[in-house]
Amino acid sequence: MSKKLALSKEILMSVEKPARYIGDEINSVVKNPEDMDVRFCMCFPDVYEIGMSHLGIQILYDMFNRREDTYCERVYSPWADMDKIMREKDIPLFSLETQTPIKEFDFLGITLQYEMCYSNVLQILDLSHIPLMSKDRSNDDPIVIGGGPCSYNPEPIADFFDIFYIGEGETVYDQLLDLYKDMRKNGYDRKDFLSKAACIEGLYVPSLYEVTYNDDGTMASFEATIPGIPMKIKKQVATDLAEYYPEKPLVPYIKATQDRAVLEIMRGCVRGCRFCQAGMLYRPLRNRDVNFLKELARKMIQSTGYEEISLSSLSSSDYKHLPELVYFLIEEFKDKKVNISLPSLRIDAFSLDVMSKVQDVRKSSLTFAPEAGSQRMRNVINKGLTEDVILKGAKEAFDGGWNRVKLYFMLGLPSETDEDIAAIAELANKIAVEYYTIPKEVRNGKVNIVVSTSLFVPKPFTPFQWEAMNEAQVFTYKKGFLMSKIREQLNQKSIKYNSHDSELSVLEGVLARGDRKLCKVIYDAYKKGCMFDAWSEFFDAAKWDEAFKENDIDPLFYTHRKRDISELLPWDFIDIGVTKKHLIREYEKSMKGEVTDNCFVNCCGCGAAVYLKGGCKFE
Amino acid sequence: MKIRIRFVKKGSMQYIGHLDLMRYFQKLFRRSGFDVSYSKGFNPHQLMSFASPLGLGITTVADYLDVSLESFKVTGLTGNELSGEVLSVEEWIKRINSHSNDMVLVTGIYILEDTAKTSMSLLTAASYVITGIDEKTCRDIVDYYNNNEQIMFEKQTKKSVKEINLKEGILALSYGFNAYDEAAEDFSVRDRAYERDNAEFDDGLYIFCLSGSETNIKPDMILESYHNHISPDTAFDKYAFDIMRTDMFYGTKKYISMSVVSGE
Repeated sequence: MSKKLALSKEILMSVEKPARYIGDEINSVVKNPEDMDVRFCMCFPDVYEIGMSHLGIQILYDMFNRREDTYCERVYSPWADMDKIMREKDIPLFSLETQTPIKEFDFLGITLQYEMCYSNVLQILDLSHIPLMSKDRSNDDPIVIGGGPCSYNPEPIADFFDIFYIGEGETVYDQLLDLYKDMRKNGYDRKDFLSKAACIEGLYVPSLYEVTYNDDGTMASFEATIPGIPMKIKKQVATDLAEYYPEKPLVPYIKATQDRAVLEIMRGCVRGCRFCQAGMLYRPLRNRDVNFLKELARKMIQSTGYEEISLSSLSSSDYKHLPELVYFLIEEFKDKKVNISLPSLRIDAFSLDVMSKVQDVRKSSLTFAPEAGSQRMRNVINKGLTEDVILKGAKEAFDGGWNRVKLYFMLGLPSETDEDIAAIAELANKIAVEYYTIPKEVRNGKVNIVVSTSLFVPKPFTPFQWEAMNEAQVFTYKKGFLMSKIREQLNQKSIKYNSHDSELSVLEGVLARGDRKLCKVIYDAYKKGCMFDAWSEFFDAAKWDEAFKENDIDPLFYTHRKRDISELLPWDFIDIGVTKKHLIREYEKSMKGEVTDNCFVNCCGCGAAVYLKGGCKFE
Repeated sequence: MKIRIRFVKKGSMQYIGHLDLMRYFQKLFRRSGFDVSYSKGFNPHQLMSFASPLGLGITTVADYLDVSLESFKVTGLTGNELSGEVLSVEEWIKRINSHSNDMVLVTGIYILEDTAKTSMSLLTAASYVITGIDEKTCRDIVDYYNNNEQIMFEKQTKKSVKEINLKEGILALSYGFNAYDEAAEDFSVRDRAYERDNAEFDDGLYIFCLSGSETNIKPDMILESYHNHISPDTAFDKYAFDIMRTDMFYGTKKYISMSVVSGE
């Protein structure tokens, strides 16, 4: 009947949410491990509810398990209560499906979605009894692979991984698994395998490259240590998005953060916002076929029983067939009590019409992401959203009965002044004023505006990759200044202000543009007990500070320093299609406050078109 | 139309809590195309209620769920060859189970009168079997129960401590299925064939006790009481054994299994 669990009843009953550790979810894959050539364990290094909400793992889980010779299972970070018990009782970390110790797998694939998960990567390896450093691993240890957005600057965690997969997982995993299977049959040697893997396009084996530094701490050289391996690692891009998509996604028993079916309508983004890493990494834009999506939506709802389906992309309004798709979904699911959720939509007549059909206007809120308060600042970041458009959208929404608005901004953008920050407060006030132009009898009570600010973190492969980031104290000042400006507004009582933690963002900034010297810092921070850094209740800035000091590394070197365009950057060996020339051009334009058209209007020649036969085509 | 569903929840599903189990059934019914009624309003939800939540770490072979149903038609699925077809109760049990995992299973669907009370309000008693305790201890517990006029137990509630007499709350306590079957015969109407198929243990400690809103006895209370009686200085280990609910009952003169629907 039921499988043997790795943990005793006593342990499971003593932790929060034991369902995190039992597996057996609906649509999880059951295979006999003994019949398999390759056992792959996919890991999201954060708590179960977060990891289960991630679409990428679901796609790869489905893709791997389509191979008859491979069994892909999953593991997530044990929560702090379980972590403690596993250490005390020396219980090795195990996969959910077959409850097998991770150490027995052939591969451990870890998705790196945000920098603050790095200490959790070490937790996973440590609890699995896998040596933390790649160089200490033997033939019996799994091959540890990293992927996802943070692998576009893998250097701060280079020592912990055997391979990084740069780009979208749909392309060369088959080659890697075939190579492994073949070498396992004919006498396997880890080093030998890794040097052959390094020749597969898109795969980066950090141990085969060597970095030297100048006296000032900047990089002097990046060289291959063996002949025949590529000096540039080429980002992988899936050109056929109809090939892999799980028709039967996993359904967790406990409520995940994303408790719904997810329909990825396209990849990439045409907008070219200069702060946005995803916008550059996932170029070129690729649409999914609308009929494919319609069929997929039906199948996913039937196979999961979910009561909600969410469209996913970086900018859904740019999907050419959005009205056709959305009206189809509304019609199709009307009688089936399936909600449709549409994040990242531009507020306009179409989206308001759709929203009024799929949600309770009185209870829902509108979201705008102007990212900056002043037009000058928005031009710098190339956020093609004007005040007129925001106010017009808000007015239309208020006329339609909405009275809640969420506004997202960033603080610390390049060249930001106090006036730019004050403009955030003024914009929020103007939206409130717009609301009160509606006659009292018609409007729906008071308006409710929530302003949220995140702190700008310059990321690799963006036009701002050379820019300095604000220090924690500057952020604290700016948050206080914005708060005081909001309080000066006429409608201040209608405006609420939320902001992100400064120290956390600064560490994110260090790790995002770090080099290999940080491996030791991360290692030491972990040894001091850092874990779940993305969770403010766990984040311990003092321990990280100690780790930096003990290694004689100044974190400001990575964040506060404006880099020269000619500097060799840790991630320069990766080719994402978008050229450095384009990034420099965009950087220079930003400093002049010049905007760049989106791809639909004009091709800016970013370079990503090389991935598509005949270049980008937008019907 | 109102129906009552009898279901099994076993194996690792014992670690799924009550609210998550409810969400599980909601999705299970949707996958199966079961035509469950929804509440009105902007956020409609399926109309269903459980007889009594099952504690985490406890399995069951007969828990009950009341559901309002529109029809026995297969509904809400697209492009399914069965769409719109009326299925029999037996076919529905098969169909729902084919969309479930093998640890939550429907074992009965009973059609109720429109005026029927909910199983939650009807519930008066429940039976359990505890396994994983050695025979000697089991027999000592049975003796402890039989030889005492009253057994007072302090029940911790959220607000206060309440004293209850387990002697009144437990109607039968027996070692082994046959002894239990005999002991419960006088005061209960049970689905004995089903119990034999699903919950027959020669080495199990069977407890038939009051349950529901009036008096709610938990099966491990008697174990804890016995433990405190013989070794008051040591802590009671509540995970050293396995508890399985074997059935739930209504009525007071006789305790009738929820699977025996009145009027049938």
